[in-house]
Amino acid sequence: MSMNLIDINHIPVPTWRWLKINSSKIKVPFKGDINKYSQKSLSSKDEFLSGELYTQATEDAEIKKNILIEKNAALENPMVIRLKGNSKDKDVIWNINLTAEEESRGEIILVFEGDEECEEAYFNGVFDLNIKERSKVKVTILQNTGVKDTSLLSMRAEVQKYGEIDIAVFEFGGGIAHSKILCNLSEDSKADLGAVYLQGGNQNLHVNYIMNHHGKRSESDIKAYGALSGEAKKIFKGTLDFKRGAHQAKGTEEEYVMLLSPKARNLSAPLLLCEEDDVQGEHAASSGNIDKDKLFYLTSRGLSQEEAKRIMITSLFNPIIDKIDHEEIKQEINNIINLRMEREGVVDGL
Amino acid sequence: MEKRARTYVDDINRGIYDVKNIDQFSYKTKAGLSEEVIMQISKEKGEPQWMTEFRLKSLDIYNKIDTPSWGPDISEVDMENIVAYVKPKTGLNENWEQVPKDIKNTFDLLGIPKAEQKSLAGVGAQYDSEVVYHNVKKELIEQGVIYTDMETAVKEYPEIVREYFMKCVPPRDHKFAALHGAVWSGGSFVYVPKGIHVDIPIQSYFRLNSPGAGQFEHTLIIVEEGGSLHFIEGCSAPKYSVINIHAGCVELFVKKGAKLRYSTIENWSRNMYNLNTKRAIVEEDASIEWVSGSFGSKVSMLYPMSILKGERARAEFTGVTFAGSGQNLDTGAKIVHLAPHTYSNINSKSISKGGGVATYRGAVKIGENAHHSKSNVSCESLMLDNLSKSDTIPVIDVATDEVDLGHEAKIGRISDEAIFYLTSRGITEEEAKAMIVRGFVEPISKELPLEYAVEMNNLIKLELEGTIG
Repeated sequence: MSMNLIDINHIPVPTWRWLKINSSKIKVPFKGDINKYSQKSLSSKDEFLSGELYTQATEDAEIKKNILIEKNAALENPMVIRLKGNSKDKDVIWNINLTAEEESRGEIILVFEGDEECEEAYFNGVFDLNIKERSKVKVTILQNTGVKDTSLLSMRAEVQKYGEIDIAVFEFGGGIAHSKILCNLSEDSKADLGAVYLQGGNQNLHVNYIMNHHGKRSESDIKAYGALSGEAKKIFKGTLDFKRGAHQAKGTEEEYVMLLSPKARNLSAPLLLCEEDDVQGEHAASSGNIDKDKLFYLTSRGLSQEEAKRIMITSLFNPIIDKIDHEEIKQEINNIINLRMEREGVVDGL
Repeated sequence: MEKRARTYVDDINRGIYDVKNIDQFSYKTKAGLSEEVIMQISKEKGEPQWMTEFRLKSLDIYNKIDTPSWGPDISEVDMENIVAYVKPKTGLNENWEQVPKDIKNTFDLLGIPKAEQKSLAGVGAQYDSEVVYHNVKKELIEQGVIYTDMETAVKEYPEIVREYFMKCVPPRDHKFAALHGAVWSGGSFVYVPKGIHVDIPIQSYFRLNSPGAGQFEHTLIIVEEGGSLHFIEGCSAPKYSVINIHAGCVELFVKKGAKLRYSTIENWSRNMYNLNTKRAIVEEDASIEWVSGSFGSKVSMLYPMSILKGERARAEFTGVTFAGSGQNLDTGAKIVHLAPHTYSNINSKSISKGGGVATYRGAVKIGENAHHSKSNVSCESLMLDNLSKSDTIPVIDVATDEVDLGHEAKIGRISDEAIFYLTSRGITEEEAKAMIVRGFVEPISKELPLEYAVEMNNLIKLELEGTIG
């Protein structure tokens, strides 16, 4: 295994270089010659984190799953896939392909966990979905890798006519974490993406969500809520792209970040790209400190500052957490949030 | 299935803007860039040594920097084919009657002398590479206000100019800033002393007549403590089949407690590459207001930048961009908050039609010392057909927690209900669309002086006229 410096996580339309948001350089381990990985999928950088990472995930994955939900079938229970680094195998390279045939239903939950005994683990994977006509798929991603781990995730969903995808992502872990989630939306399809991130210490999170509206009357909604403390750094790139011909498509995007420490660094690039006039596209991004009026209200009712801040943060995340039906996973997520806030205090730790 | 109607409008007759004069000049450098060309320009102007050296250093920097790797395609701009300096057949005049007839005619058609009589405190008119007319009201001179062309300022106020010239936008900033540093010519120098309020606006108008030439005017404005000024800039050029380039530079220094409003209506022709750089440094309790209307050019890359250096400094940007057929207008604003309690507001509207590309490109950076700062960005894009493109690329970078920041953007078309409402009251569909577009840009037009607001509405009317498909 050799470490190679590669350029990943590209913004759909580049802008000023001094903002350092166009892409990121990262050192990752590759088997053998890096050129073999670069040449194979040159165009993949548009849809995935990078061509090299796509090739690594699809060719070198030790964890490979092909999931097929048959026509008209419905998965009775959500399918939970857990991936964890272990001291023997620090590298977790995975590739999951899911095909939901016409009119099928299913729910997949991916959990990435860190291992205290295995620091500096490396996670890289590709989740490729084909959601056929009139089928509905729910995806939950819980990223809770260790604070020294590298977590790289690319997800691409082809959503066919009248298909629907409902995604909930929770980014809690990672020393360096990159996520790229892209949906190609056909006629009358729908995509809903809810993201929660909680980052502190020296964590570095870089997310890139792209909704490509190809088909008429396609609908998308992105909601991202986060809290940053310590010296965490977060880059959010959210793109609504209306292609020519996507008549009457609708897209909305909203990001809100709560800043809990003066050293946290928050970058957002909510892009709105449009080649079609007959659409409705809106986005909003805002960030600020904890609302002092709300804090006063809660403390005046007898709650301590800590408790009040915790309530405000969890209430920010609840709309996304409520999307999950699987009770145990929901509980797991709430536990992680509570534990982090308790262990390190809300303000400077996390 | 409901069929939604659309209006396709043809390209327009730009009327007075396309008036071309014979390309007469008293001196023209040969095309391309070289030390020789730079030395010639400096010699023609009779510049002091320090300026000649500055130009040569900038040329060196220009040759070393790459063109931007983002934004519209500017590969057509080949400085080897551009004439950097065209000296018109006249010197600097203080009386319109002394300006040669054909040049004066052009400015007459554009309404400049008339505007001066009616409502301006000072006027500068630049034709090709030199300023041909300059006048400032006596009252202002008596108050100590300096308003002169840039060449005169270099010779008569060297201490001030040397202190400020290209310190706000250094040649190293980007390739076209370096180009500007090497071949700059013309432009205005305005100095407002402490506590002086210039009540009536001052205007500079830049007209590029020579085909295949470049316009590189430099505007340097210093508003001292407690002063205030409204400066208006207008620019246009007739359309040719070869490209012209505009790589001007505007540097604004707004000192403690001062106020500066900078309004621009840009109507370059459709063969122009407009790569202008505008920047303001705003000190404690001072404010800058940008009002910008971009209608012309083949390609524009224009992002007025405000650096909020002092506490409680403020920046407001209000802009409209109208991209028609064959145009790629990449405009926006950049704000950097470096001090506490600073405030910024960006209100940008863009319209695209007939295959035009309108892009809003923005950046709001809040530094780690800029606690208790507030910033608000609002972008709206109106698309008039599905041949065009409208992109919004805003970036927000926050490095402290005590801030209040919001950004929103919307995109859409003229609503059918609104058209129906107006046509049902007897208004034609064309007029209804024009009314709605005018209403869309109203926040900008109301900030402009009346003549400019009228001009802007006319430009919109021209852009929208055409056969309804």
